[in-house]
Amino acid sequence: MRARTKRPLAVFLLSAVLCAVFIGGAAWPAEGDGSSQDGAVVSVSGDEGLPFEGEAASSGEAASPGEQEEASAQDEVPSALEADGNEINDGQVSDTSFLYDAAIADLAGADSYYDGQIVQVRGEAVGEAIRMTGISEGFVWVTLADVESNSSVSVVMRKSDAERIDTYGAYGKTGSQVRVQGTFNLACSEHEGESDIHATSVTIEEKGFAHPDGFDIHAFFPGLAALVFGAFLMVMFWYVRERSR
Amino acid sequence: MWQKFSLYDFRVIAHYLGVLVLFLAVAQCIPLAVACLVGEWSAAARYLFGAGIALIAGSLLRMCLVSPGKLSPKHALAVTGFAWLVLALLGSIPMALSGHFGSYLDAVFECMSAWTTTGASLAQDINHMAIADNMWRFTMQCIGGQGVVVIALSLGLFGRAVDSSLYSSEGRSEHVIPNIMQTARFIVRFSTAFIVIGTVVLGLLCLFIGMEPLRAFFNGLWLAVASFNTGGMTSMSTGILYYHSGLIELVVMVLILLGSINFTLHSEVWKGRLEHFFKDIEVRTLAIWLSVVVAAFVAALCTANLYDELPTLLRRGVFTVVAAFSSTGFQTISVNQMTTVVSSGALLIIVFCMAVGGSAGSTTGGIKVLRIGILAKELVAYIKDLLAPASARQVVTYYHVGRRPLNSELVRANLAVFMLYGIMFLVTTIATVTYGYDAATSLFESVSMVSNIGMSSGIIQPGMPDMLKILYIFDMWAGRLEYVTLIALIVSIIASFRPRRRNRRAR
Repeated sequence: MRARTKRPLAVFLLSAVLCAVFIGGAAWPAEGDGSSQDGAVVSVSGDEGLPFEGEAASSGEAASPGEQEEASAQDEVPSALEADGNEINDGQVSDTSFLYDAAIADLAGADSYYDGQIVQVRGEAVGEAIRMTGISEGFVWVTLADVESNSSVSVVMRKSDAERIDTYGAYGKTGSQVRVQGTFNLACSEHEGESDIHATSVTIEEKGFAHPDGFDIHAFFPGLAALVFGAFLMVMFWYVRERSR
Repeated sequence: MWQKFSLYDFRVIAHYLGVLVLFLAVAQCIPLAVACLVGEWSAAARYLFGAGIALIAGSLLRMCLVSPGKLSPKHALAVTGFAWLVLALLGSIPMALSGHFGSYLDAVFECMSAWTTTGASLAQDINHMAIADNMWRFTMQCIGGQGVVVIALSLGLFGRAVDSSLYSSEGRSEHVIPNIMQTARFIVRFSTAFIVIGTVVLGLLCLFIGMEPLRAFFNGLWLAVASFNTGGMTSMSTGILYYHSGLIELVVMVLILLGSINFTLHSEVWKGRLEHFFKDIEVRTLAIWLSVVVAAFVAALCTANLYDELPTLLRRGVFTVVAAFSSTGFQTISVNQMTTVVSSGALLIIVFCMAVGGSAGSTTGGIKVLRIGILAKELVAYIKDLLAPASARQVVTYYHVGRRPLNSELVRANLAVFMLYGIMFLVTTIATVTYGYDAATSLFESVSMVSNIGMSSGIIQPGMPDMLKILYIFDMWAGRLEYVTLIALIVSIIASFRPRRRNRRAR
């Protein structure tokens, strides 16, 4: 008889815990993507707190130690959600319009998934700022390169932003390290189908510097030795040929 | 019976190869001088070393035979065949020491690509490459585009020891002028004139887009060399797209078209015989073929919804087709656009375009439109024969600097080259696929390598398997010689080392 009464109680407790976990999970948006699950717009205010909070607390009295741990885990909810007027749109679909720190190599081999997304890339400015003619006067092209992955991407930025780049990478020069935030276009309709990033924010993270070649006579010794030996062989050949005539 | 080489033959070949290697030592003085002028001292030391090694190797090879006789066709075939390999192996020494290549093999790949005007690159961090290194890459493309032997002949390096066989062995069967040396000099002068004009125009355009004067000059020069010689290498990692200029693309396209038309036809136009140009089977076949390809490619791009406006669509479509057929390989459609947005059908159209190639007797690669035109004529003749009475005899002619009869020898030779290309496309594609690459991109890359185009769909990278690099090096080498020269050479060498069979009757 005791076993019969214990079983429904255990089932009830288990379902209460599951409900708490489920509701808690539903109210908690997936990390980073801003989405939730059950489709309702839930208004969260400081007074009301989280809808599952009271339930978890009340069930916590009769719950086992394991269940208490679950309940305490639910208490570790970030305070941002409890702020006044904070609203969770449960109907929000998965939104990845902001990709933090996309690698240049990823964009160089990007598929249509990246098209139109806001990205942030870091790279060395190389070559020079290329003038843009036509409707985009006041903007320039800057190429950002990633030496490690041997890849590069073209960035459209304002002239004023490009002027802050003090050095462009070339032989004997390491260009400024630039962080660019902007929209990536796989085939940009504004710029004749090129793959580019339209920069909205440009930050110079590190200044560039020049490291010109120093003249070191020792570096020329192997070449001079080879040249002298080669010249000796040529004279030998000429001598032998003249002798054989 | 296979033709064999004796020890004397090998010594003759070594001697003349030595002459070409000494020429390489002189050619390396160009990047050496540039390095000294712009103060790139480490590059200067590398090119001095490279020139020294070439001088030693060239002198040693010449010593194999102190007083050689005249070059026979057999020797000419071998000298031309080996020249490209030897020059790539020795020319890559300063490049390998530059730090821009993962290994010596990568540097050899780069040099073979430059000599054969393929344009594919395994260089790393190319944006920081020394001006001298770039100068060497484009010098190789310039010499390779004209033909190593043509340049050597025009400079009189072989003296009086040559006949037309040396000239013909480099894939050039037509003499612009009856005299070989004068023909070679005409080609070099004619090309130099266009490269100089191209350098001035492109240099000014580079200046206009915001480059410093020195960089504008070098970029103009390199673009002109790579365009006219249909090389397709660039000095920046984003390729021709770096310049973001429709005008530069237009000038480049004009230079490419000038470089991809038979030099014999250029000579005829120069002499005022315009009818030769418009009646020519090559020009007509090229016009029909390119019209079909451009229409099909633009249609395929339309379905991909890659470009919103018709002018952009035409600009990208026409440029890509011109770069593909001429074996230049410049890309205005980036690799990621090619592999993700552009349909596989569009890729296939470019594959056909690359396989057919440009005009014979020009700087282009591939099977060549002259061969396609002749085979099409032969097909028409065959159908005519089938329909005609048994007693009728069909005489088919084609127009190529005058009317010529279509004989079976010519058709046989063309079919042989056609088949060899087909086999190499197949073998290279299968080899690439076995490394796990996608079928469409493998076919694209293989045809690009075999036809010396240089376009890439992303497989050609420093990290690709070494065996594939070696296969592609062979493809570029053999493709530049249109396979026949190299296969004849390989067969002769194998036959020379095979032990003689004993005659049973003699025993």
